[in-house]
Amino acid sequence: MSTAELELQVEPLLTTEAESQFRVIWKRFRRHKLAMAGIVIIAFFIAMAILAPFVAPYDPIRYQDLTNTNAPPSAEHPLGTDKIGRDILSRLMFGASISLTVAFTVVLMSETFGSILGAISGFYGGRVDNLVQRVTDFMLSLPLLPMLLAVSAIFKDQFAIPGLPREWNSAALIIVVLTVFGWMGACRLVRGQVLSLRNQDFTEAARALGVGNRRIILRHMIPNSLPPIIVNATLALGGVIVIESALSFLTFGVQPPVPTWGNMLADYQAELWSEPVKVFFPGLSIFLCALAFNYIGDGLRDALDPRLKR
Amino acid sequence: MTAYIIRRLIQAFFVVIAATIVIFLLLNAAPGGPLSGLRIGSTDAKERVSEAQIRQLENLLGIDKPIGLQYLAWVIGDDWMGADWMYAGLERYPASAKTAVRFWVDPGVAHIKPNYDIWVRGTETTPGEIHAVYIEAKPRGQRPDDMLGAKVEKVLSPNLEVTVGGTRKALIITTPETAFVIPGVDPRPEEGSWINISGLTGAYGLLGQWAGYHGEKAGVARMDWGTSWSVANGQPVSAIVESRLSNTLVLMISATLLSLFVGIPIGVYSAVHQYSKADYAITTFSFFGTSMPVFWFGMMMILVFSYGFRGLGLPFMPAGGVESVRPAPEGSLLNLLGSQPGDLIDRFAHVIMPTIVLSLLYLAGWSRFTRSSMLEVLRQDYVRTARAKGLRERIVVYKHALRNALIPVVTVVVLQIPGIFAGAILTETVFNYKGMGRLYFESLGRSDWPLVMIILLIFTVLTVLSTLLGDILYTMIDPRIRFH
Repeated sequence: MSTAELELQVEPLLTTEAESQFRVIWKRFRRHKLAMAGIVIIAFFIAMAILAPFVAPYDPIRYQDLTNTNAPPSAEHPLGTDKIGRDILSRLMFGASISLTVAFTVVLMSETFGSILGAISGFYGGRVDNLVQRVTDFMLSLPLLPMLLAVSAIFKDQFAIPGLPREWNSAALIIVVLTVFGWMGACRLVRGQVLSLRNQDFTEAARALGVGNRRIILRHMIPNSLPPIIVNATLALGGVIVIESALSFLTFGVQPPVPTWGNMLADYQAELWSEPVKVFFPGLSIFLCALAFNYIGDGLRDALDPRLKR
Repeated sequence: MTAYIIRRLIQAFFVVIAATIVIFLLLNAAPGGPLSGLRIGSTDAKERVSEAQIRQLENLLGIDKPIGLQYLAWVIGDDWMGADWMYAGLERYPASAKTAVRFWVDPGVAHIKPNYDIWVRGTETTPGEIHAVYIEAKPRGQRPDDMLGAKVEKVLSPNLEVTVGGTRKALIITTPETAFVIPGVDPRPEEGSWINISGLTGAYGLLGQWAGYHGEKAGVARMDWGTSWSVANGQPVSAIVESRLSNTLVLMISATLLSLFVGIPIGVYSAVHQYSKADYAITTFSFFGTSMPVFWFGMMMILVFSYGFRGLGLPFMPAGGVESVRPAPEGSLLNLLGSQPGDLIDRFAHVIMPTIVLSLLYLAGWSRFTRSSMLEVLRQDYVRTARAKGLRERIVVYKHALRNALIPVVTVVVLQIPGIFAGAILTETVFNYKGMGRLYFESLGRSDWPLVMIILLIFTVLTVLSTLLGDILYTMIDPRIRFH
């Protein structure tokens, strides 16, 4: 029997197996009502982010009505306008796409990088492991928020990606900075997992079959340590949303005119008393997103590893 | 145990050293250097700082020097570093009980401050180039009769660029044969034998281009934190930090205490009454707290308790600041309490809202952590044994369970205290509270790098120390952990 035929026979088995496992997890996850509510909230914000270009009443950056600045909420501008007459509701909607894009990109990049590094570190052990662990310890011993602020403040005017419109550079910079300071959690997590997986029988079996180290790491170590990474990544999404908005709020994150919830808070802070809605909704969006991700993470933890449930 | 502590101390030391390198490189090796902000500046040609001015500023700040030496100068100062021309001698120092022989370095021409006059005897071989035979530097107004007056513009080791008579530019070229008379070291100590080591450290010496690096900085490690560039122009950084530190400490300590004395009890209560309504409420609260963007929460607090209460005619809170500037307005909480600007009640009232905002995250986190730690312990056999013995539930919970449940909590609390310090950046900014956090924000915004570096270093040292303390405490209070 050739290899291709063998694979053909094995595949349906694998698929049904995977599906049923997925269904079991989904069933467990569905019981967590707050996590389901979190899914609904995130779905709402993602829809808002995707649909913003179609449903937002105005262009968030280019529409500027200088005859109607700092306007209170009205029928034309449900959340009023800002100091150069941009429509705040439109900015809020586009802000969702920026904030969520930044969060998802950062988490995807940092978790991937951290996982690979952690897997290498745990798998090879010895000197590589020692080096990676020292670097991880060192990164963790740096104060996160002050460091993020300093790095983004320094590179604010320097960072440029060729081909990217100028106003998007700051968003790209924030993604890079948050990734650089965000991979350590995944690295430690995966290293711990790999250390225990490394000595298990299936690894031995793979090695006995002559599978190379790279393939063992990519096909066995990382997939088997996925459940805790998924939980970690979900919780990290909430953290990144809050910290990105904190940086933007302190004016060292995503720079205007690109709207994010954080820099909108900074922009409209002065109108806290006269027009509190302008500050209320961006902040509420940050809060709801972070809360939703935290609940989803909690639900996923319960669903993926029932032993952890208390 | 002692060996473990010593090992951890050494590790912590190296981490701090590495952190100083990272901080220094970040701020100095960034593309364009620390003055890059000046280059971009304004689009108006008149307002833009010229390259020449930037060069001058770089020279003044010592950032035209090699990066490694700059780093050394930042950490341990450059007052001991070599100069263009040096004399070294062995001198007996009677000062302080120790009669030690100390290496004595004569800083040389690089020591000359701006506006010092130097006196040159030499021959002008080509116009504008003077080959110096003899150079003497003195403060203004002590001109020897037979000498030519010149003002130092730039020290270009091994040469000096000077203006002669206020107008004519000239380059004074020195050779190893040139003799120097340097202020502050004249007359030379009688004791000791004098050797000219300019062959080693001088312009023609082995250190060549690095000569001329003598300065007056004592370095961060020797508590010389330099002077601020822009936040408080020319003021020593240490004075600025000192003026802000106490405000932050008050805020930080009150936030820590609030988080501890509320967070831990509600965590314990929540665990003891697991699945009760109160437990759900507390768990929900901790989820809300950990997801809350604190700056927005702070704004909402101001909106409700300052602006909102004022609008409703209720006793309202001060919206920000460390203390009132003017007597409290009619109808405010401070007015009701009869407080005067700057008194204890006034200070206290200004700290309340920032404390609540700052502690929210930790209150939520610690209560959640205490809850899970407590639940873990309550499942243990020894708790069951205590119950089986017929001990009262209160004693089981507080004496047997709580003590053990608190072990991991202590570590987490110690580890997170620097986070509270750093969290003050956001809280202080929202409440316009003049502390370290707001200072950091201001100095970043105005590119005051000396200040930024120091505050960043303080944050880092605090983080490292608390990690160390957390680890040591953990091994001390938990007898199950042993180190070899």
